[in-house]
Amino acid sequence: MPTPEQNKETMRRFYDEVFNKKNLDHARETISDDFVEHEEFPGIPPDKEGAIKIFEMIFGGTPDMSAEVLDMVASGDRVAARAAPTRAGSCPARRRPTSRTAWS
Amino acid sequence: MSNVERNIDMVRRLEDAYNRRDYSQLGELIRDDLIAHTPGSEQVPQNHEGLAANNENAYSAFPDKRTEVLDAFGEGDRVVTRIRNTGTNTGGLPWLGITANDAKIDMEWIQISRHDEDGKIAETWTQMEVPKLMQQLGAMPGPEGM
Repeated sequence: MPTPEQNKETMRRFYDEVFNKKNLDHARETISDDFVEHEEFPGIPPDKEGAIKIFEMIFGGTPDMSAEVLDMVASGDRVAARAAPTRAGSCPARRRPTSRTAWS
Repeated sequence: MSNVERNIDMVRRLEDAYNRRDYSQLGELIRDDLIAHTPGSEQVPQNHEGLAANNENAYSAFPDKRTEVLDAFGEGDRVVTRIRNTGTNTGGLPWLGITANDAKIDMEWIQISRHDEDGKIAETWTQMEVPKLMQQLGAMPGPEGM
């Protein structure tokens, strides 16, 4: 069993590889085959395949999107991450997180 | 009891107080200068009075409202809780333009709370199943209508 610290590291790397580098192979390697998504997306199965599909949709719509992890809490086999999307603009100084938070 | 267990207990006791509509212990559980990062929370004062008013507003819409803590864990000064909220809209939600329609709601939210040195809730970040809630209230088409 990985420790909570190891699980946090997995999560941190997932955000970096998948959200920031758009590395869907990393998503396929890291998401468990029996993954269950409890957030309903109409027309998308609540499993690993559906999760990859959602990433493809997000990246198709906002290819310059990236995410910043703002907080992480871990215990046992659970990790909660609070993250905000960051969108690169033409001026790097204007890059900043939006006010919305996202859950993973 | 570790600090994390004490902090988790604070969140459970707060939900219990909201379910009993008993606001006498809010001062022991949550700081009066709470910072709540929840959409809509800026509409009521962020203090004990505002929290009680918020809960009473929810009861005016859903007189049978209940919350249940389904999952709770913590680390350091943080607690994460997943909370289920059920109720029947027999009172209406005029602030959203929704009239009483006997719609049953059953949705969840996940909250991260930061606790002060006494264990009191000092700051919260919440994500709710808003699309599901709006569908259940009949204010938004369901999956088959989208």
